Amino acid sequence: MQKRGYFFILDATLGLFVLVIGVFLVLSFTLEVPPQTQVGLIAGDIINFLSSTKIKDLNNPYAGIGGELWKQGLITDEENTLLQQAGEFYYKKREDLAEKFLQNVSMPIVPSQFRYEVWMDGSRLYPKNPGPEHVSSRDGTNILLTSKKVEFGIANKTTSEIWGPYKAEVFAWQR
Amino acid sequence: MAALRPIMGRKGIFFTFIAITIIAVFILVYTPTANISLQKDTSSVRSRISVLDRYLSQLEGQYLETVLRASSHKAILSLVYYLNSSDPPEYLSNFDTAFYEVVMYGTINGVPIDSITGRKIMDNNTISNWTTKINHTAKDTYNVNTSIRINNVSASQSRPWAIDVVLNLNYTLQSEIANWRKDNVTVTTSVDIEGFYDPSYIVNTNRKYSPVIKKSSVEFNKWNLTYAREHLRNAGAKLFDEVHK
Repeated sequence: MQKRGYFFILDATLGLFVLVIGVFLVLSFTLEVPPQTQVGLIAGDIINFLSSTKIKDLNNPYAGIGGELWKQGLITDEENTLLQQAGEFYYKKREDLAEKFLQNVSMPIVPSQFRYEVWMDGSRLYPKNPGPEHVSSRDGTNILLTSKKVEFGIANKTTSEIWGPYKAEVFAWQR
Repeated sequence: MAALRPIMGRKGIFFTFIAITIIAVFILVYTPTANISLQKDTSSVRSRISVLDRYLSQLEGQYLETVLRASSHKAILSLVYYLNSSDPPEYLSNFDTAFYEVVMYGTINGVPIDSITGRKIMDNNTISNWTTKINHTAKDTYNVNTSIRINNVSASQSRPWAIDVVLNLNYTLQSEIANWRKDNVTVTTSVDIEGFYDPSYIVNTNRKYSPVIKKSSVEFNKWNLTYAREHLRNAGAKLFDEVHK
């Protein structure tokens, strides 16, 4: 009867211990959630940049007005967005150009801790032939997020030839 | 043994505490998850609706206008070739009906116009084709059903160098979270007539002289016989054929 107090103290301590363990486990699960939002934002940001920036607004020695592709007559419409230009190259079966173009315009804007891919109409335009490091990074990532958009454009203004509508898609994940 | 007896008698209290602890842990585990899930759902629904809003804006503001301009250009071109293929060449008895049928279905009097003109112009390029294509792509991209019902397509000329085309339609968009419906949407565009064969020359010269329409740099009050001769000589069909073969 005199040791009843010790029993309740022991019981309360045990109870507190169980509670602390429980709270710790809950918080641990919460902390282990990977940063989905940031990866989600980067995929959306890339597709928004590509679909809202026009050739005429681009200051790029390869893809901008007066740049390499412009001088060669491969880019003719300054009103095309970057994604439309890539889509037009794809339509004209110049996937090599589409890859180089996308690499030139998108690499400077994507933080180095992320990897990404640009697809058009179910074909991967960038990178066209990914290296083993890229593939293993993609296969091994916990979170691979995508942002999609319908894209179309005019292939030839004189003959009113339209390309698309294609599904344009950007995949992004953390390295 | 005598000292432990009262403790053993209070076994129920011990189990009660354990039960309370377990319930507390369960509450702690599930309560915050429910709140986060609700926030996530609201945010994802809002984000999805904004994506579909942008798609509709693109559909109405860009896609339909581009498609209307391209299909109308090809329909007019086809009609000029059709007129040229009749013997002797004669004007269309009802341009509005013919234009609607060609631009919508690629047929004239129920016959594919490409088979009459011998040129693959309207194949896969009618407004019906393009509305079907956008429906498939939008389904694949956004998992939505885009249903477009064309009420009318008409062409008229209010300016000398362009044909105005007006498209009237209703559309519905069905997704798993919301539906959109808009009736009597009007899309307008204009098609430049420069570069088309001039039908009046085809008919009036019985195809002997078929120039393409071309803007002259001569001002309207400066025309004389020399300019007129030069213009007739230069208004050849070479460029037109090269472009549209």
